[in-house]
Amino acid sequence: MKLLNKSIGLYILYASVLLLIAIPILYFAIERRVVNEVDESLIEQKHKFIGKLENTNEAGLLQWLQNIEPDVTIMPATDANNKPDKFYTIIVFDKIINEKSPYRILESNITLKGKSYNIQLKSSLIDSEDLIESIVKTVCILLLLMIAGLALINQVLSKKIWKPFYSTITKLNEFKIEKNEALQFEKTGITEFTDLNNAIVTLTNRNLETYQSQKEFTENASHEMQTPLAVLQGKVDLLMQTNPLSKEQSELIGDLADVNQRMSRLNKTLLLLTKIENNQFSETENISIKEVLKKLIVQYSFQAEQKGIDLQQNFTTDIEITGNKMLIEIMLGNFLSNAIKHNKTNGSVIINGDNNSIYFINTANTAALDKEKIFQRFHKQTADNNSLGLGLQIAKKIAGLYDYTIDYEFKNEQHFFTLTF
Amino acid sequence: MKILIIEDEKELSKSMVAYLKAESYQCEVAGDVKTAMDKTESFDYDCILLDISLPDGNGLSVLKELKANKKTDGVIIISAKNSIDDRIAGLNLGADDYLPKPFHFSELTARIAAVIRRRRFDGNKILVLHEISIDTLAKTVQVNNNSVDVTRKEYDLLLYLAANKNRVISKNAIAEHLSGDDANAFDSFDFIYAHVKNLKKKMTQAGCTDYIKSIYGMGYKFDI
Repeated sequence: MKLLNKSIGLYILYASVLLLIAIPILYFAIERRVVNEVDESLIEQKHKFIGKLENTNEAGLLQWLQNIEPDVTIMPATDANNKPDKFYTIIVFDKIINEKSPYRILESNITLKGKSYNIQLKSSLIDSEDLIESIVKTVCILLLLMIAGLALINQVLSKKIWKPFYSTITKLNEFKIEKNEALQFEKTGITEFTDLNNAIVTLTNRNLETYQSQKEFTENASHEMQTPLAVLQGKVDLLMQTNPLSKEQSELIGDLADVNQRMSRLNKTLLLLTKIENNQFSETENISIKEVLKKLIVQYSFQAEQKGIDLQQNFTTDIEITGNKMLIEIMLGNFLSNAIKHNKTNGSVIINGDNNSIYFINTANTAALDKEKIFQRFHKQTADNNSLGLGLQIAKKIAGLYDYTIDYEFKNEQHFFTLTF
Repeated sequence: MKILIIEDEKELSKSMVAYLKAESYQCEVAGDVKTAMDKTESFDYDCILLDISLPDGNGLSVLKELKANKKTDGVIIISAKNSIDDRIAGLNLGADDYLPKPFHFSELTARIAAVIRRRRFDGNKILVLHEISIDTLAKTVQVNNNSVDVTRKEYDLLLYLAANKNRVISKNAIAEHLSGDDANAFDSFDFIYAHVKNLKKKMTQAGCTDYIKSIYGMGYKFDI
């Protein structure tokens, strides 16, 4: 729910409650006002009437008067008590309009020439149903106008005032730390948004700096390592040539050579990762995935054969992509070599493909892999010393570079890696 | 055969000299661009090993100078950077090869041998070792003038062993050589054992002495 809608919703709720409360208050206030008016006019009427009657004393005439003044009833008083004026409301069924109508009655005791009379004056009131109806109608119209008005204001507000906010959100969504581009916002003229943008710029700039310095550290460290590694490698190579060597010494030298080799490979791989992150493989060309896989299968067929692995390729249509050939080869090579490495003897590797995905399916020598962890740096599923735990991380980095997605599943004792272009 | 090693890391150049001397190469060392320029101006070398990052400048300037003076020395760039840009820049300037650090000395020897072979003007591209002759142009192998049907990998392996004859070659070096740049290709040395076994079998069947010796714990030796 949008913030604006939420606040407007609250306004509307408040206004509705207020107007609902206003209905009975308005009703009673208006009714009271009307009754007061009517009462005053009844008293006035009474005095006029008395004035008119002052000069007559004939009962017959009184009767006649009453006939021409239907709202007035005058009768000789049964008791001579001088009662005070009395107001009350009655509901009368009006035959003509077939409706109940309220009337205000004034009962009074008057004395005409020593004789006491009861006089009753009647005046019609506004029908309360009609009154409520018109009040409710008015309130409803007000409410509708208010909602419409608020909605309109909302529209304008979200378009105009919130525009910088939405542009900030868009920019944040597009922000990629690897691109090393600082965020820039237009001036908003609204304090809150300016504060927000400033805070975001500070935060992202700090992140960029940290990321950059970490990247540089990896890069420099790897580069600086190359020379001492080369020296070490050279010394080991020289040591191998010395004569005579005992069996024990040969074994030690062999171990040294292995460890040094692993270190070199690790370092080269870290450098490769850094280069991918630095976007140093910007050259692209059109690549046929089928061709790359064909080449890779030839390259790995010997290893597969050694393990008795059946390597199958079922490609119906070729996938054409644009990318850096070396990276694409590394990525697909990593999938294929993993499928051979983490396979059982006499297992199988199947490479399937459709319009925009390829699937590497291989029989597993382990249980299902942890989906969350397999793409992490240095996560190793096996204790194999020759595995660096960087293969999938590299594949993922390359895939990320071209917005490809990698999925992993484990079904029927088989690993399924899906690469979608 | 004369080789100039342009490398500022003394321990590395010292080791390279020691290794290459045993291959009966004459080696000279230059630790910076200035010394390197002086030496290349005064002498001709069969092969120059050139480090790019030197204390007083970029090693590529030595290469530029060589080409400007129309020198024909073979050049192998040795770099800690292993960047594609460097590789392309070096090869475009006329370098013969590019070897990223760290490298195996056996790999270096094989590369030097290949450069020297390519630069030879007598057109002789055939390597003869006793009864074995390797045609490096046609990439074929003969034993006592009879062709041996070897695969591409076996050919590469034989040439590598031959370039490092009588030296112990670590199995790591062979694995790296056979799988090229792809560090992922080998997860065990099984495939080297298999290649070596197949090559030995083919060679001995063709009547060749079994020169390939397995060296305990370390690797192989082409004992000829």
